[in-house]
Amino acid sequence: MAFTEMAYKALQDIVGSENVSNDPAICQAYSRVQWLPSGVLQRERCGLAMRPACVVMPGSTQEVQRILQVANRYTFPFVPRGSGFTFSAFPTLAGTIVIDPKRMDRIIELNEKDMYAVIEPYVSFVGLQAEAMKCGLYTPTPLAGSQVSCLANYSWHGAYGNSWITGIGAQNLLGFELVLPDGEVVRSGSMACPGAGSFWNDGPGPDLRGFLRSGMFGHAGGMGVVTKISCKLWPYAGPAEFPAEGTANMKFSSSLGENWKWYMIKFPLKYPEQEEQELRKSAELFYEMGRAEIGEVATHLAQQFLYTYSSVTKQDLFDNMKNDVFPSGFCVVALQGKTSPDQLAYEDRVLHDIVKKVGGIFVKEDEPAYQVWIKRAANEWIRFGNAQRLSRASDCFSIGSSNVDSIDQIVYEILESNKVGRDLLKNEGLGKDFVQPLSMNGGWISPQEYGYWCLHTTDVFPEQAVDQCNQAIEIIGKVTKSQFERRSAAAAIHMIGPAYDLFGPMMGDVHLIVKGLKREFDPGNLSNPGYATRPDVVTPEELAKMMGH
Amino acid sequence: MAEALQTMQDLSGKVAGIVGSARVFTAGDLLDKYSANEGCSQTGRPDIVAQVSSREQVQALVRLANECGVPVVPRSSVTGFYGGSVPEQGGIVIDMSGMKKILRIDPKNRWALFEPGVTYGELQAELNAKGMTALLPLAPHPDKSVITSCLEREPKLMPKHHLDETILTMELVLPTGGFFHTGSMAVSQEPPEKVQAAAHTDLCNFMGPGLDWFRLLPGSLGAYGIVTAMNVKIAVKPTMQKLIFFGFKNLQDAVEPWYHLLHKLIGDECLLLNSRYLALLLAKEPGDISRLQAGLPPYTIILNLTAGEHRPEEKMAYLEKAVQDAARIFQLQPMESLPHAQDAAAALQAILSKPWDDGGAYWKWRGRGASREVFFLTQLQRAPEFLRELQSAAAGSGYPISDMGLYLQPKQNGRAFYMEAGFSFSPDDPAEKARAEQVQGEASRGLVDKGAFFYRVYGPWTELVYGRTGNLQKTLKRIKHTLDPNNILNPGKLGF
Repeated sequence: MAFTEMAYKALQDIVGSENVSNDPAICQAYSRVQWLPSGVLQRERCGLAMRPACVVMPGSTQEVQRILQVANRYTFPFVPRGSGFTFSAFPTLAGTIVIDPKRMDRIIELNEKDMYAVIEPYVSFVGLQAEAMKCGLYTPTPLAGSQVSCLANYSWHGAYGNSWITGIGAQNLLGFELVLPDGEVVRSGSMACPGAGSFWNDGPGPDLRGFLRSGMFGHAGGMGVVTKISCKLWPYAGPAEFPAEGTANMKFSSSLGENWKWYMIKFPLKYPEQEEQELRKSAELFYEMGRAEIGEVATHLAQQFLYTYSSVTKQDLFDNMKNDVFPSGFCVVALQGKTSPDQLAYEDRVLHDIVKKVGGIFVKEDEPAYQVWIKRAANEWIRFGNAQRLSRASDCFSIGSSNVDSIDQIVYEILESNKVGRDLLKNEGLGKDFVQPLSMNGGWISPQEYGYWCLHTTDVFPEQAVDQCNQAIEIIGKVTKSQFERRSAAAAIHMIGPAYDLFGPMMGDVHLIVKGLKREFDPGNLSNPGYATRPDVVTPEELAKMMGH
Repeated sequence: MAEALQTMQDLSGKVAGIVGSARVFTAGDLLDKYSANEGCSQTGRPDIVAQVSSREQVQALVRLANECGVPVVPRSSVTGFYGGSVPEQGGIVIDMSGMKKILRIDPKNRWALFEPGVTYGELQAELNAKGMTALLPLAPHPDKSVITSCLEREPKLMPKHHLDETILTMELVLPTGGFFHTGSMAVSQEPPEKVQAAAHTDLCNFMGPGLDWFRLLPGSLGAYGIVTAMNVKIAVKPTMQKLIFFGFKNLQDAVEPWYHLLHKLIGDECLLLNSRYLALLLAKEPGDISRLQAGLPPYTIILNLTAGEHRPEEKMAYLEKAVQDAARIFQLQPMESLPHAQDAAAALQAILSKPWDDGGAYWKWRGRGASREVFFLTQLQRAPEFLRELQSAAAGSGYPISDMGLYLQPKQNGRAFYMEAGFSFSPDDPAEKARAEQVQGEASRGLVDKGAFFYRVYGPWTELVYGRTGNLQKTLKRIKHTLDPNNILNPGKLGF
């Protein structure tokens, strides 16, 4: 049954007619993500067909519950949305409704003593960060940008530039409230027990976060609607009000006070010829810092990230590239004196010991790289995450490859996947019109939890043109294929959408397990169909089509 | 069910065909051992005990159980505490305590990979030799399986960042009998110790595939899968350490200073014990317990300051200064030894670095021979309220409050606190036992009513806790039904 007038009236009855709309102009705004190649191609392929049937804005968990009950009665699909940053927030089938949580935007609790917050879906990082900092706490900030929904980011995976201690978003998720696809409400963690508070994540019994999330992607709205979470906050020794200078795009913060200290570290190597040595030296630095348990931020940024993240305008980006401000990748480290200024002084001495041991060089304050990165961009990693700036180069970008494993394996994967990309450029001309040299070199190394594990991305920068986006998708596909052929740990992180059918048989038939859960909880495939997987097993013919045969 | 079970003899014969007849037990005293745990009254007799020695045997037994429709209960520790491995519906107990291989230690990436029968003592001996240490709970029983401890989510002594989640990757036997690898181990289906030779992975990604198994499995008491190998985080052994004590007359006085120490990230291992539990740990002879207890502060925060390879003296200096600053703010007197226990620091440093190995009774049982426990999570600021509830339940049951042990363990830099009360009794005295169990029951009900969070759910707590959590248990049951359609693995343990 498709979405009908009766269903629309039922939704009006639940949320009030002012909070539901099928106005084409409004619905069009919810139709696709623009900055990803897949969004560009969807626009080309589907035109207006992917416009949602309506957009509904519930104001409470009870309203979400009733919306899902109506969806089950009239059997129309729904897409839960956070702030709408990424591809899974947009319909893939005609007749789908979008559930926009704009009215659910409360920080319900911010517990200073026990370092957690309870929030609704439309609380953004910038809102939470501002409130947390007033209490001497903070949250890691997603590269996706501080405008995104904390709840959606934590339920997805959430990669941050400052997660050396805090880990990724999935690790910062505590309890949650979930409206299952059939409309039943379930709570997890201490939030599940009346009167217990929302401070804790696992139990009672099995930790239901293991069901809500999976790998790097979570269920992406495929298992109902998360209506509330509690999340971790971390000790913060910076100023209660984030210092900022300038206005609008030129706004920046040059200092977080005496308890923070930033460093840029490079190696005396020729780039890009000695990129491998540079990445391995960076890994050595991070392993040593991890053993010593020092630092608040530790990451390695390739040229493309340094240029794009630090640019305040497109002109600025190309000027910096022209002036060779970042002649190679750099390691970026911050120390935070959370115990005392003496701690910061101690860690400073240890960092100098380690950098000397691994053959690194501290970038001097008068070097252009330091002036542009540390003075203008570094503190923005604490405030807003910077990643929107990735699209500054070409108005479009995509992750070219990613992996999660040890720091050493991350270095291996960056080198191998870039090699695939460079070979495709050289032999088939794929990516020749992308913004270069930003694509095909280096990567972002992001060690987590003092280096117990690490993640990376490499990125490609096609323009918002169909031909270039097709090339980007082809490059990503071939890099992914090589990851499976090489038996890279990266193969284990790709599970979303058709990847389940393609790769599940190689991984203990995990697709059958996830499809079984989908059939159990969402037999009608109404909750964001396509994410994380569909309930039925794909036929060999469909599979062959997926693989392009 | 593919094959109807004819007789017990048929089944035991098939089990013997998998593990060898010498490793199969169907009668006698040995079955009694598997019918009860030390720390609970719940009993349930298995029909068969199979002592396995390999992953393949575990898999074959689960497949056989599916064919025959017989329950399977996994067990890794020789000594159980809370009834998780006591059968609810008979069937086969798979005893994995003999699977003792430490498959790999990776000091660079700070993990160790091992089988279910490996105990903390066995692991720690190997790690010590490499300058590493396990992330230990407080003086675990010498028989305790590390994998069981991680799956039961016993609190660790180190409350830093995400060290409460120690599991990286796992190999499971799924309820339907297939092997399944989690996290980055999933890129190869080779046995765990061979995965790194077959694939480009260092087994450091704990997430996925499909579900976050590293979270779903713990707390499931074996109902969602049997772990046959696991790699967990380990830590670099400190080069210097110093134990500091803060004594308090009442628990409320400890709250603000402890928040301060934790938020300032001062020290590594950190816990609070009341005089009873501290005396049980420190007494050289059981006869010394009462005397020692009388001389100790009622409540003691124990804080271990540590330093590693880099400039250890300088690190200790800033930490000690931070301790002094905290002491000044809260008008406390940090101590390097304890009244009537001058060697407490050295003794406790040894105790905190290994499982209980005193050779006599386990420390919690030293007082009177056995104990019953109540444990849950709370915010520190609510701990005094819950202590009053415990004391009230003890008084109401006629249990001497001075015999009640208390242990508080911060998690995640003090975001939450594990709180445990122990009620010791003489196992030879039925009245004492009944009284300890009465106070355990009364306290549990009162605490749950007041909002104590029973994150680990055993025995009678199952109904008490899940009865208040809405659709949670139903959701867990739906997951179970999907993973285990024949309801083979530890049925009844989660209340279904």
